[in-house]
Amino acid sequence: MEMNYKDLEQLIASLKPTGLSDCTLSRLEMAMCGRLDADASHVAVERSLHAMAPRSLSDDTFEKLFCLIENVAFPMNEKVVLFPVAHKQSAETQPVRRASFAKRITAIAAVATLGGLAALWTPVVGERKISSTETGVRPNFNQSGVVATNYGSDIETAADEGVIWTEDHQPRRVLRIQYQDRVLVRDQNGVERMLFLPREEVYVVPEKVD
Amino acid sequence: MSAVTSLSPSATAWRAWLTANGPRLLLFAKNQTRNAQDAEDVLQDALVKLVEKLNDGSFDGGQDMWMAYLYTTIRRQAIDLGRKDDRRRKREDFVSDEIEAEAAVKSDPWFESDASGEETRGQLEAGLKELPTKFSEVILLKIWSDKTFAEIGEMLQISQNTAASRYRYGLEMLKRKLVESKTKGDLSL
Repeated sequence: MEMNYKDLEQLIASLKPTGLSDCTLSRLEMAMCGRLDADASHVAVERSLHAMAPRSLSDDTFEKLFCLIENVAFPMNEKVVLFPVAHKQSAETQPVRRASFAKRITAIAAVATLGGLAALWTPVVGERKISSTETGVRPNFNQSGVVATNYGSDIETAADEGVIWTEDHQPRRVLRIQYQDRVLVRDQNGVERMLFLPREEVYVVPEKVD
Repeated sequence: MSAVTSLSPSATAWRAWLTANGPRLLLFAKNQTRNAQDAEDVLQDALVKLVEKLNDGSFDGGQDMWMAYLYTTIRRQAIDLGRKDDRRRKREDFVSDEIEAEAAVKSDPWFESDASGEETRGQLEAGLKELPTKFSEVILLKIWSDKTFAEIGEMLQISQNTAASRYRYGLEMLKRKLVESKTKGDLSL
């Protein structure tokens, strides 16, 4: 048995590992020089791949996934978080202090609509991309052929309007935030326009008063 | 504009985010699961996990980290799903399942069709589907998610050089496939 092992050992020792292929050699050389990233031999394939767009989500899938996230706060960045608060809710709480709030909301909505319509006919000049969001196109966004390609929102003003008392004698702090929403849309002819939509939200939050 | 203005600001932002990122996430999920239905399931599960983390404030990082988290979670979920399927196949010994699954992968489109380069697109798509996942996942993350090799390495828990090598090797295989097709006359390049 011992002899057999020795024979086997010698036989194995006589085997020579195959040399590195040119491909492997070049790969190792490139790795050692830190040039693996800069390989230009596949540019044509890369270009062809870049030209291919991943298939859009089907409407069913999109809606199924959207349902999971539509009521979740959307953090734009470290300081700004968009909350899933409908305009209606803030309008419901506000009449405690101001009876004419509904009229003011109507006026704000009217200004927003006018602003949006005016911006619709103003071609965008210069920088078009809104830094706070990513771009994307969803085909057939509406029947008119206009698709929204980008969305952004900035806070214009944020004001603490102090404490109010509700009808059931509970203290509430009123915070008024004015936004400027921006939506980049593209029509069927590929012309892009930026819509500016001023928006105001009033938050009425419970306040502790001694 | 009605679709945008009728939603709350966060819902509008989410819609835009999903429109932009949904297709590449689903593409990655399809690559990992090799099955359209499973891909949707793992994508949904990953999104639910992200939402849970955002809601309870335990997500570490900002919006720029969401995609990395989702890719990692999709990959993990797909691996778990694959293990379960393997166990089931061993139990049930369904060879026909595998044949059906392979046929489904081939017929499920991963990319938008483009009439101008349909032949090349078809060959590349078929090539990507045939590539071992360890190569195709790097290509997907590099080409359609613009990740650096360092980021890809971190996501897949491999070194930056390994990510770069796999990318290069995957492209080499795709290139070879295109050349073969051209030689055979399948491509009119």
